[in-house]
Amino acid sequence: MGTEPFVGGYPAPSKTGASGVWSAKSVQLYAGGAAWPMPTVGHWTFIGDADNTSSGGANDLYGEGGIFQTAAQVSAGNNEYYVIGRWTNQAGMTGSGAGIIKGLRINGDEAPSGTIGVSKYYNWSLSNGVSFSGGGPVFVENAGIPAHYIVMAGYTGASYQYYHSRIVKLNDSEVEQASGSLRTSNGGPHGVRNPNLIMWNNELYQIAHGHQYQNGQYKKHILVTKINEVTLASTTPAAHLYHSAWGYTYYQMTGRIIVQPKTDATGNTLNVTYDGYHQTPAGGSGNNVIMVNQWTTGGSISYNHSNDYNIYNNSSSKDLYLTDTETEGDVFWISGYGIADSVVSSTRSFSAIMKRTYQASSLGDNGTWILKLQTGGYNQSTHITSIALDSSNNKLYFHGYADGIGGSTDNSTFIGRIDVTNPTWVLDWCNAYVNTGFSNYPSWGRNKLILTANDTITSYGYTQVTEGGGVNPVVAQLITVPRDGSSKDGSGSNDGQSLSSHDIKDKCLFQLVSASTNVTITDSNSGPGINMSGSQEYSNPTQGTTNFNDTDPSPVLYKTGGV
Amino acid sequence: MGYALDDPANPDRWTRGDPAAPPHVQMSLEREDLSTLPEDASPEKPYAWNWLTGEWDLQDPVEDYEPEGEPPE
Repeated sequence: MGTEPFVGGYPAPSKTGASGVWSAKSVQLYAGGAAWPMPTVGHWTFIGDADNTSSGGANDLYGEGGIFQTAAQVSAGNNEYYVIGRWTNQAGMTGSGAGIIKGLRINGDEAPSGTIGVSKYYNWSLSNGVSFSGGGPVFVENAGIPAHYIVMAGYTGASYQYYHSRIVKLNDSEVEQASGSLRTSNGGPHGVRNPNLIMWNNELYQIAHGHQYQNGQYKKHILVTKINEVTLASTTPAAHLYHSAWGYTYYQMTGRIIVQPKTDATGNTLNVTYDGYHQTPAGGSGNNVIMVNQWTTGGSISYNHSNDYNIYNNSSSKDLYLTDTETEGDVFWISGYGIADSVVSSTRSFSAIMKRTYQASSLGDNGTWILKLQTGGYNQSTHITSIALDSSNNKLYFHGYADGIGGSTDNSTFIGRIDVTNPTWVLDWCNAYVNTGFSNYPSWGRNKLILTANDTITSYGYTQVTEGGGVNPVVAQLITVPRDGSSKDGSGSNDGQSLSSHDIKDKCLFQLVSASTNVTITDSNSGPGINMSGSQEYSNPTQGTTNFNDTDPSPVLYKTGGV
Repeated sequence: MGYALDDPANPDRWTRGDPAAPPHVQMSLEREDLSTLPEDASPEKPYAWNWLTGEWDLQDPVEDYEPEGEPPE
């Protein structure tokens, strides 16, 4: 045993490399001094046509829909997930189609793995393109059958009221069991949009926007119906929810709808959050507010008017937009964003996370916290687009995007964690993840940010990769990082893209709203309220035919790298 | 009222009605602009927001229309 710290050559260890043959003692020595190469802390996966091998030009896969696990996948314990995305440019496709990818394993502290066994896309003959709800769940399972359902909206043109929802029922072998469409029954234009699916009271429901004529315009309301799990037709109970004052110029539900069971799929109470135009108590007109309420079902659907509240932005701009919710019994968290004067200069978007409690006759306010990137040299707009609650550890995770962070000039994803143990919340960490040369976006709403194996969290979104000749396919991305925030100040690559992670906590102002300069958020139940009518507003239209095709490339490519 | 077409949050400069546009861009561009709702909107002249053009399209008259709801307080 000499004093040589290694066997072989003399390459100095670095964070990214330690060539040569090293003795165990030397490894111990250098690791103790933090000089030994650290393992990859953060895995970044691209899914799609990353090599541009498909015929007819690059096929793009957008990270929409979400990442899901069925009961069988959970039981298997091998970290396999469904990845639901939206394809464009597939051969034979008009517009876009719903992509289903099965077989990918998200392993947490090791790179994703697995063999892609299913790589399909859906569209249907009446539609020239499909899209997913931008907020609520689009994939649910009835484990008792077992079957799972995917819902999308399809643009069908003026002859078919522009939009229908389309539900597909699949078994665990991904064989289609049924497929069906819904439109509105009133015959007016614009049909059904933003469909959510939910198992509620052990039954399948669709909740979506419809349109109905009011006061010189076709306004949005929210339609809910139980779905027959054999035929996928609408059935009873059903209802629609609308502004009591929607006969006046403003007042309608325009934005996202997010539904979550109060407890689990067997419970009969649903926590429902949506946004739309309302007259704010502070004055003004036609501003976007977030609206919350609880529904129950059984023989009919009912609505608790006592804890129905609006949450509005009374800053320099009056709009507040919904992005996601988390729920735990009667307690729920809401993420959103608005615009206000920056503390640095001009106006910027801020993000808000609100904790509320449904009470029998009111809504409890447990705090509103504001995240702004307006310090440490930053003056960036910020949008939190999804949240994930780790209730056993009192942690709330978020992801979002902002431009000009982490040294990038493009939009990049940030991921962070908040300790919500006490009424005074603490921002534990916030890191930016940069794909040099391209924007990368975390997706919006449910099932886009999930807790994954080995104390990691995975963000779902999309970005682009360079394939030469000006071809830059859009690929879905998974960013999996440790929950302790240690994936920061690193660099790496994936499929030739330079990736990096950056600690941006010192660029964040994370404050209770009362301490957040220029931002005011208030709850109110004054003014015109919300009505629920127990009528069926869906109808079962001309169905067309469903196309269920292999993707090109088949199977879809996935490439992993890290930072 | 959503993003302008040249908003940094719309870096690829997606245009209205493009089915390939990401959902947050689609939703933003498709949001009704009530400030441009024609003043003559009525049951005889109902309008529907056309997210393909960003304009209000005149529709066929509505029959048997009866206003619902209570006036704002």
